[in-house]
Amino acid sequence: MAEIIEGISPTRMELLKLGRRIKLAVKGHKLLKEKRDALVSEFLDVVQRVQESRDKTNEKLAEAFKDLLMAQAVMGSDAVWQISQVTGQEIKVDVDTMNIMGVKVPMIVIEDVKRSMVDRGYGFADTSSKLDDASRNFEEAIGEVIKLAEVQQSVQSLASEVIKTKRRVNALEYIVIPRLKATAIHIRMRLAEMERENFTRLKKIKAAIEAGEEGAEAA
Amino acid sequence: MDPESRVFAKLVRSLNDHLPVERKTLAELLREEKPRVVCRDGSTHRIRREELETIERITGSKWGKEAERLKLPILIEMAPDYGRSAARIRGRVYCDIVQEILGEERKTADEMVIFRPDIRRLRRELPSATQYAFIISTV
Repeated sequence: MAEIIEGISPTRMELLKLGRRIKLAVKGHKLLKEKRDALVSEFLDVVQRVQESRDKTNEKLAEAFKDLLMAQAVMGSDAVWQISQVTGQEIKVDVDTMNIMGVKVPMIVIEDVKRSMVDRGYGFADTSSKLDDASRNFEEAIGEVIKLAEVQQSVQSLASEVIKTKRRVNALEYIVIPRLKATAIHIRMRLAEMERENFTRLKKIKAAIEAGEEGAEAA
Repeated sequence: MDPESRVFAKLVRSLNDHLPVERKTLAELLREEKPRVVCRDGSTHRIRREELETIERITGSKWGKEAERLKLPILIEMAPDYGRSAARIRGRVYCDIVQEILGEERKTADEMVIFRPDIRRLRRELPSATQYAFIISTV
């Protein structure tokens, strides 16, 4: 049986108060359990998204590097490196936050990173088509990497909140509520005992009074 | 209010700290360059434009101009009274949106109760345009 709360006097008033506290603790426990379940559900969804995003990113990067190697083989590494220096290297990302049940997770909004052949800034005549493929695949991969960064950070934030909420639920379920209930039982038992003591005391007093009256009558 | 109730009220408040101080209308959010609402804990909650456009598309045909007054984010009300992991959606327009997303026709008036798989689907479709609200004693 759980420990009882120290320093509570066994009175009916305290018993009533405890009853109210138990009710509130049970309600709070139910609400926190709802939050925990919702958080776990969100967490599992995000984990699934991380996996999907990671697979996509790996696939895109593998394709892109394969095309890059081919382009380097056809055009030479130096030529590819020179071309990479003249192309635009800026990506506009807008980093904001989203609030999921008190957990602040990042939201990264990116403009379309895919560029047209003209926007890439190099000539078509003296470059290999493999370079175009590599550029396209890298652009797609960048989008996926950014998405992956967003969900990866969300997983970490959600995981720590799940742990925190779980701890609070468990504290209520295994410590607070059992302790309150044990204390209520203790007070109820103590009150019953006091009642029995009182009953016996009254009986004794009555017997003493009766014995006194009989003695007086006999005299 | 007795101390226990105060503690409980504080707990409920803290559970709902992520809710917006004031919800914005769909039209307002669509007008903003970065659609976002301010939460009770002072943080901001950004809503993705694509989700707003999805909602606009769903509601536009049926509700017309009235849909612009729709307040967002949509609240998924988690109430233990409905049973574990059941949630309530209130408001006819909101119910229409949820039904459209879940792809099923339900007889509903102004509110509907959805369960965990539906909540997950809804959250997957509209992760930033919906928010959980934890409420007590509804029925």
